[in-house]
Amino acid sequence: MIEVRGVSKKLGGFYLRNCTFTIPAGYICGLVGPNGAGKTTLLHLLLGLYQADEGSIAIDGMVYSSREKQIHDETGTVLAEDLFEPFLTLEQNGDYYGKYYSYYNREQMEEYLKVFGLEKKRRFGMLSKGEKVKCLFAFALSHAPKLLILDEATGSFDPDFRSRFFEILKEYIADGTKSVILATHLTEDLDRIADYLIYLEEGNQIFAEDMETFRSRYRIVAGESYKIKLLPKERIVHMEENNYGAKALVIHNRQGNYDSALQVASPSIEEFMYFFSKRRK
Amino acid sequence: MFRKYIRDYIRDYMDTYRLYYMKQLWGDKEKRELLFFLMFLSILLMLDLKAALKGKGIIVLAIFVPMFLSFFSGLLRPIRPGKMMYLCPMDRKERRSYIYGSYYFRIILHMLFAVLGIGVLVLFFRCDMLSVLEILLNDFMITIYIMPEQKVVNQWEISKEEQMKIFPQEMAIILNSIQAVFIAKEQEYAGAVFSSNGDGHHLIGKGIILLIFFLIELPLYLQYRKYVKKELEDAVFFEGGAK
Repeated sequence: MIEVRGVSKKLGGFYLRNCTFTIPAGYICGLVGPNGAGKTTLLHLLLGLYQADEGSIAIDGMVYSSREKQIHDETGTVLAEDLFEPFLTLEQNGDYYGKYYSYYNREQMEEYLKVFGLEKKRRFGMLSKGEKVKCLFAFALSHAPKLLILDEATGSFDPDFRSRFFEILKEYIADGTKSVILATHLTEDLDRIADYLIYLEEGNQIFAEDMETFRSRYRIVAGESYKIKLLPKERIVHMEENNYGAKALVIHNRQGNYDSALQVASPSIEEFMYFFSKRRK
Repeated sequence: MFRKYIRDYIRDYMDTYRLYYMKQLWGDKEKRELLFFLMFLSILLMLDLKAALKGKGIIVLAIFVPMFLSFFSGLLRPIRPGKMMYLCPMDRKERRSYIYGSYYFRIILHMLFAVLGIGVLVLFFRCDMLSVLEILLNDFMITIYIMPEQKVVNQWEISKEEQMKIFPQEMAIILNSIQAVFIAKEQEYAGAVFSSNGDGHHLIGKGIILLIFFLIELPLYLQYRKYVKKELEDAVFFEGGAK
C-alpha cells in the first residue's frame, strides 16, 4: 500500500502541491496529466530520488528516511531513460545491478529477455528506445518487486508488445499483494486496466481515487446545448459547443435527472483530461 | 566496504576512457575549452624544453602524462554515479562508501602513476628533492579534482566561486609544467645549481614557485578540501545535499 499525505515539492519554478492519496495493494494506478503536470516529479518522490518539502510518503508502512534499502529492494523501476550502462550487455547489466537486489533471478531475467525478443549478449547502448524499455522491464520483473513504477514506458512499445505488456501487468498483480503505478499518455489502455487514477495538472492533484469512483462521479453529456445548460452551473466542469450540438463533462449527481434527449455516458480518461484542461481557458 | 566494490571501481575506471564519454566531453564546449586551454599552456612550455628529444620524451612521460591523465579522468566522469545506483537497494552508508571508495580509488591510482613518473624522472634526470616533492603535491592537487556540477558558461566569465573550483588545478598544472622546464634546463648545465655558468635565474624561478606554492597553492588546497567534502556528501543523495 502506498500512502502519500500532503506531499509538496518545489523544483525551480515548478511546484507540486499537496498531493494526498492512498493506493491499496493489488491495484494498477494510472498517473495522467498534461506535459509538465508533475507526474515525473511525483514518481521521483515515490522512488525516493527527491525528498518532499512537506508531507510524508509511506510504502507498505516504510519510509525512506529509515528503510530506503528495503523499499528499493521491493521496487522495480522502468523509466523512459537509459538507466543501464551502455557498454555492458543486457546480461552483464543484469548481473551488475542485480547483485544489489535480494531476490534477483538471473534465469528469470534471461527468460523475460527471450520472451521480449531481446538478445542477452547485445550491448544496452545499441538497443532502440523501445528495446531499452523492454530490457528495463525484464530486469524490474526479475527481482520480484512488490511495487512496479513505470514512467512513460508504453509509448515506445509496438502495438503487439503493448497488449502483451498489459497482460504481464495483470498477471503480476493477480495475487493481490503487488501494485503498479503507470504514468502514461496512452489513456485508452488505462481505461481498460487501471483500478486507480491520479490526474495532475500544473502541479495540482485534481483527482486521486479508484476508477469506480471516477466513473460514478463524472458523466459526459452530449446533445442540445440549451438542454445541457439547464443543469446546475456548478456541476458543469466544461462545455463545448459546435454547429451540431454540445458536449460537456459534468459532475454526476445520483438524483440528477438528465433530459431524455441528452446522451449520457461515463467519460473515458482522455475525455476527462480534455475537458478538465479546457475548463480554465 | 572498499573490497566489496573494488571490481566495480576498476570497471568504472576503465569505462571512463570509452569513446562514448570522450565524445560527450568533446561535445561539452566548456569542458573542451578548459582542457585545451590547459594543454595549450603546457604544450607551449614543453616546446621551450631545451632537452634533447629523448629527454623531452622522458619528461613528457614522467610529468605531463600522469598530470593530464588525472585531470582528463576528472573531466570525463563525474563522481556522481548514474541514476540506477540511486534506485538500487543501498542505504546511505553503503552509498556513501561506494562513492567515497570510487573517488579514493581514482586518487590512489593516479598518484601511483605520478609516483612512477617521478621514479622515471629521478632515474634519468638530476632533480632536487624539493622540486620532486612539489611536483608530487601538485599531482595530488590535480588528482583530487572534481568537475563542478554547475555548468560554467564561459571560461572567462565564471563567478569567483566557480573559479575557485577549477583554479587550484589550473595552477598545479601550470606550475608542474614550469618545473618540467626547469628540470630540463638544469640538465643543460651539469651540476647547474652550483655551476660556474652561474645561471641563477632558474634558482630565482624555483624560489618563486616555492613561494607561490606556500602562499597561494597551499591555502587554496585547504579551501578546496571543503569543496571536495561537500561534493562527495552531495553525491550521496540523488538530489544533492542532505536534508
